[in-house]
This record gives sequence, structure tokens and C-alpha cells, in this order.
Amino acid sequence: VDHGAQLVELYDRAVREVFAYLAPRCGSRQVAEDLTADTFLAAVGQIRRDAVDDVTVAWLIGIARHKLVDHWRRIGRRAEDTVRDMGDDHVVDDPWDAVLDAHRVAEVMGRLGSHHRSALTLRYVDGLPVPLVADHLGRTVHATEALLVRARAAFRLAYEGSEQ
Amino acid sequence: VTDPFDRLPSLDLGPVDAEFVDRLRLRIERALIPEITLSEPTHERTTTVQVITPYLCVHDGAAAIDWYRRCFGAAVSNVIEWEGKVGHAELDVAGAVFYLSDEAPGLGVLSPRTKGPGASVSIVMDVAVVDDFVAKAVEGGATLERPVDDSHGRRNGWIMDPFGHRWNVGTPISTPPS
Repeated sequence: VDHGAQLVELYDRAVREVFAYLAPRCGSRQVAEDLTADTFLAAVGQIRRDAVDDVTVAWLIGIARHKLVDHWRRIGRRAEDTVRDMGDDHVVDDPWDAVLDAHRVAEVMGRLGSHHRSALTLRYVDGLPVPLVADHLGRTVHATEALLVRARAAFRLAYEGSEQ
Repeated sequence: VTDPFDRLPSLDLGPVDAEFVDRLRLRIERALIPEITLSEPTHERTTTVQVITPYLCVHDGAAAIDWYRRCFGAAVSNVIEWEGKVGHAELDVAGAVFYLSDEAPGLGVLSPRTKGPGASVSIVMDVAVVDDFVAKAVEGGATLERPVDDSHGRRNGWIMDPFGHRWNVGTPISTPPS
């Protein structure tokens, strides 16, 4: 099976879906294009190493998700997080009744620490179950549950602080 | 109370840019091309040559036969006259055989002089001592296009003969016995 030819054939449809996956999550067309290119070139690398079972859009979205988390990890190491991780002790996951605005969500996500942003995106935008979120972040399930609680609190604090 | 995180909205940034799609397609197609492994340079011939015999057309057959005899050391045989011109002749330069004839415009056979400058075909020929061979040809009126030097395992040079045919003549460089 010529997986390279399959990728070329799938490309026109796949590139739209991969970009559509990445763009709203990273909130920037430029970053989304860079990560889309990274995704496809990584796919080519896997094909050339003969490490591919099936060339599908789902496979490419999986690579894109890795690229997204890697990207946040990188900028997380570079930039000082503007919203500090508060630590377990101070966090109470109160019920929160709000209707969130897409523009403000994007703005707040951009200010969150990369680990919070990754956790919230994988859990609530991608809808992954906690064990899979844990896999992506390289943490235990328990640590990931705790991280999600802190991430929700950090998000809420930043979101409410951004009101008016 | 519903969890606002369960319907976390995200921005619609619009569809992917068409130019970006095209550029990335090119990058992918290039990246999929297998890397070419260049073989080590070799002095061995890598092609098995049957025999291809050049059949040269010249503007003056008689003068050409004379020139190739004098300057290339060609042995001439089987000259056939046709309407006062050279219809066919066979020349042999130490085993390298080529044919020639005068022009036959009715058959679409034209000489370089008639067709104009520039060579479409060049003739590659091995000779015993290339420096002497080229010197003699140039002395006889050939144009030196590229002086003799060592390249590709062969000492060789390029000349354009006075009849507009382009030759690469050379002598294989003997490798010292190992």
C-alpha cells in the first residue's frame, strides 16, 4: 500500500479539517497554519518510517492534537504564565452558571498557563475523557483531575476578571 | 446548574487559506520523494554500448573526407558518388566508424552550415592520445570548445570540426594497478 499516495489523495479534504481543528483551539490563523504544516510533515515522516497503519483524517487530527499540546508546552516554557497556578489548597470547584462568550473565552485561554490551557482544551473542547487527557499531558489520572480543577478555577477567575 | 465548560465556545477563524493549502501540498509532495542515494564516482563504464553509427551530413563531402583523413587519421572506404557529390562514405578512426554524405535537401538531410549554428548531437569518441589528437584537429581548423582536461575518469576535450560537427574526444585515465 502506498501511504504517500493516499496522503496526497486525502490532502485537499484533510488539510481543511486539520486547520478547522487547530484554528479555534489556538485562536490564531498563523499558529494554526504552522501547526497544520507541522502535522502533515510529521505524517510524511511516519509514512516514510513505515509507521502508519491507515491514512485517515482521524489519524491526522490525532497528530494535530499532539502538535497543539507540544506547542503550548513550548510557549509555556518560554513565557511567564500570566495567570498563576494557585495550587490545590485554595481551589474550590464551585458551581458556575454562566453563558460564555467565544471572544472572551479565546482571550482568557490565551492568558492561561499552557498546562491549564492544554487540559481545558483536551477535556472540554476536544471532549476527551480524563484518562486520555492524562495520556496526552503525561500525567496520572489523579494528577490530571486535580489539574482540571485548578484549570477551571484559573479560567473562571480570569474570565470573571475580564468582565466589563 | 449546567457546566459552562461543557459548552465551551470557540472562535470561528474561517476556512484555511487557499495559497497556504497549495504551498503545503508542494512541501508534502517534495517531502514524499524518496531520497536519492548518489553512487560513488566510478571510472568504470556504467553503460553497455552496442554500436550506434553517426551518419554525418556535410556541406562539402569531398573536403570533409580529406579533412577527416588528415586530421582524424581516418581510413576511408566505400565512397559512393551520387550526382557528382558524395552520396555515402565510411570513415574509420582506429575502430570508431562513422558515415558521411553531402546534403540531400530533397530527403531533408542538411548540413550544420545550412541549418545554422549550434549542435543537437555530439559524438563521443575514445582515441589513443587525446592531447595529440585535439592539437592536430585544431591545427587543421577545428575550433577548441573545451580544452583537454581530466574529468569523469577520462582525459578529454571538446572540438567543433570545420564542418560543424561537435566531438568529445578522450582517453580513459588508466588507474594504477591495485
